[in-house]
Amino acid sequence: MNATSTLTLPADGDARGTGSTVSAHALLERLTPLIVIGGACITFGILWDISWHATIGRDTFWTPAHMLIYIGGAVSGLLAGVLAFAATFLQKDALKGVTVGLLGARAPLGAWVTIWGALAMLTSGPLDDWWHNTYGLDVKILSPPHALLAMGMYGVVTGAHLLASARRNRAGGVGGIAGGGGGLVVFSNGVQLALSSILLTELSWPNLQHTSTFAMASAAMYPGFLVAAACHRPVSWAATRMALVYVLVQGVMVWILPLWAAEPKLAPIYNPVTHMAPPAFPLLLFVPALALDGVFLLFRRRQHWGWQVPRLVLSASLFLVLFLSVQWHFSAFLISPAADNWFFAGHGRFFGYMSDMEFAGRFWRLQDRPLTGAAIGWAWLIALVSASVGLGVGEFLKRIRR
Amino acid sequence: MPLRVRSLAQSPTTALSRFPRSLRLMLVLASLLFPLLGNAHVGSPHIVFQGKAGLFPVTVVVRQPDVVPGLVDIHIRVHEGAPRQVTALAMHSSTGRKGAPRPDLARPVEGETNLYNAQLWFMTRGAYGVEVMVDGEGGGALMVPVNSVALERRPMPAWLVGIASALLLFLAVGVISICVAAVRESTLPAATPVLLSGRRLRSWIGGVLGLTVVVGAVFGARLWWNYEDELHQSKVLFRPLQHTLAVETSASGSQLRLELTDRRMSQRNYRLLPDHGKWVHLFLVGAGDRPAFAHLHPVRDTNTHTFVSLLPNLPAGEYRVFVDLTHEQGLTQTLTNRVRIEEGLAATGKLTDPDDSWSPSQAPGEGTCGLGPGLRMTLQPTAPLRVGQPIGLEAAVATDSGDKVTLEPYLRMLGHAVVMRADGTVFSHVHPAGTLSMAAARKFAAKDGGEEAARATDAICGDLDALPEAQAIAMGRLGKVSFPYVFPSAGEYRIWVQVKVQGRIVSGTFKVQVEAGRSDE
Repeated sequence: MNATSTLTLPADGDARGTGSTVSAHALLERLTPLIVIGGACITFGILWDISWHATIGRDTFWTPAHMLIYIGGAVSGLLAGVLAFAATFLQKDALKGVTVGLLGARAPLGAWVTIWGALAMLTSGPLDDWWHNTYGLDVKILSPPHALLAMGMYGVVTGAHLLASARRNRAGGVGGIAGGGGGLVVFSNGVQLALSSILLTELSWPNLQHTSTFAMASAAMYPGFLVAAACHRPVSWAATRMALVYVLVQGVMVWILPLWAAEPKLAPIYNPVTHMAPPAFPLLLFVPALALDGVFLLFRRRQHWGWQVPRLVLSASLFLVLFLSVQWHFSAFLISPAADNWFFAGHGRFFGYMSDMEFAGRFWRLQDRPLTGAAIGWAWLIALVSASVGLGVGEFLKRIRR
Repeated sequence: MPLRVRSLAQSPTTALSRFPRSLRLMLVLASLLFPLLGNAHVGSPHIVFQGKAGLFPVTVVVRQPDVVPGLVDIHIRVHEGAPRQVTALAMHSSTGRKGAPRPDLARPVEGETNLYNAQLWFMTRGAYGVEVMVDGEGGGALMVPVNSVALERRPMPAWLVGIASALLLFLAVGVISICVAAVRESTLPAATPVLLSGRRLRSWIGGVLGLTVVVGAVFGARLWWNYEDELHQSKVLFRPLQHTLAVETSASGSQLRLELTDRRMSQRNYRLLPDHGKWVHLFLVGAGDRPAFAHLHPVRDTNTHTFVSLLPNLPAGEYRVFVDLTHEQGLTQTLTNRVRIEEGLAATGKLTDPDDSWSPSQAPGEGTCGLGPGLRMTLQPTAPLRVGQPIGLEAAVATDSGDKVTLEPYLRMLGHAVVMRADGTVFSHVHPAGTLSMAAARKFAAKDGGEEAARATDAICGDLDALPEAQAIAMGRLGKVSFPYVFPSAGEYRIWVQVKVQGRIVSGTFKVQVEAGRSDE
């Protein structure tokens, strides 16, 4: 790169000054929500697909659930590609101030991440096919090629979140509450959280929520999200609202899927389900989220680095105490006959056709994975690391403008 | 009765060769991927079953999966009649019909008459029974037991390594570039003119961050992949039963002792089922161009996992050993081993089991083979021998003067055939009904339908004891028997056909050459 070259950039306020800039920015403004919706399609699609596999079994590639995932990825990737094309060739000057350079081309950072995600989803295809032919089709969610697919999906959704965050920051200033676009940021963040939580599905069944594995895996994933949202604060009580979006995204699938009649197509059938199996009821993440929003509200005027450590320690501790105690009792409710109803997907209603319902009303793996004091200590350390990463992400999201 | 005779003796002649070219090509490709394994029917991934679904004579060819869960490909040829529809249903041994879904409709194969195809997923390991149902006037069902085991781990093909590496490298470059761009300029307000030279440090930070992510991902993926691979090899891949095989000599003569030492034999699913009346079918095949051959049925010794058989009067030398077993759940397997018979070992001339038989070293015939004084056997394939071609191997026994000879029931059937590639990489024990285990088919039928259904399955499988006596006798009077088979790979094969005539078991030895499947195109 030429060391003396200069990027001549229009001011934020000037960006709407000329005809071409108006159309270029309108393009960015309009495409961002569509890319977020594409990411949401992926998240809804993967929840639907898991239900399809649990209820009907292996099916053709052309199931509606698969189509929703791939259409979501393809549409988001293509729209992000349109942004990159426009910013690189058609509206280069007009969009220069809201894009970043990558290998000679320009696009908003979120668009690049979305494009990367869509390509990763494509790349996982042949690898996944080989994996299936070599090791058998996965009866589990996580395998290395699926992880690449998941990273691709996550890339699309994260790109959408970055686009929404940059758009919000340009509209309302750093960490601003005023201005538009905050809702889109929270929605895209909730979708991102919902997609991430799917990775932990097999460790987070209500029947496993008294184990150390659940505590540690949750401590690795969720404090980061909650702290990032609370720190970013695109709207007030952002972490809480994001957690509610997650509950709604998963909840919608919990409530809608069982309305459709379906039956297994493959043997052996141990659990003859008659309707689409819902996901398990979502985690009550809004409880620790509320506390973490409170912590960041309390510390909002203390930006000195010396305050970061107590803020993180308090966040990790509050998360762990509140999350584990809430889920401890709530999971006991979910596996009890009291929750055996449509609303809560309780008492093993999420079980697929290959599951044995005999175990629906029990906690699992209490012997080999007990939630001991040492396990809670490890979970606290993990939560602290996760919260630290979240803080870094939150600070970055506050400042992203392109 | 005449229909039964026709279906067993004549239908393969006209029908087995009519499988479509696409199926043949698929079978050829499949066979190239199939190494020597301890699964039932060594090196032969196809199960061929020829029988009747109700009144419809059918041939079913099932290609077993070699991964689990895996896709099972089923072709059903209906030789006569006008079926309304054909369905296939997979049942797992653990749940039977109770845990089975609705049957899948087998679709007519384009360009063919009365050839149907269905593909079913086998989701778990163990034994499945595939019930083929032909609907129509006089329709009915038949059961084909199929193993569901992971047989191998294929290496990644070079072209895929190339494509995947290029794509992953591209993604890795993408990650690093995105990190550079993110740290360098994503937080800059639009109004800020920036000297890129002032952002060089940030570019480096972004690059290092991106590289760290990529290296971490590659390292993590490698660890994970290796873990999954080791898990697959140690826990998932099918392992033949561990066993010992030895020749022991005592005052009463030399005997062969087979002991199943595998710890899995203590599990319920690994208890043995007798297949047409025998716990174990053990075959000895000598080396060289004039291989000696024996088909023995060792009996249980002091514990349930040890089987012994007196050694027949075989010439000294190295022998390949193949042992056919059927487990209680319906899983079948063929153990492979070698044993050396030393010069001068005392053979008593006695038999452990009246159905034991052997033939000394003899040059294999090409089409015709002598069976001892006054008898000869001819072996006529129903179509040119090509890889992947479903075919009938039709054996006829006659006197030297050409008079037909009546076949008597041997192990409840008209005859038994053994097909072995000259190098031992393919071995199949074939019955007139095909290559399936009758014991496993019976087990699946009995699970839901009781003894009556099991008896009906015996009859469909060609068990002469399950047929009316007059019908069985009439079949034997034809003096010939046909064995349906699909050759899995090209090369020279040995075929032994065993029948019982005039109260003694005789074995015809043949050699045939199987051509590659593509050569007929």
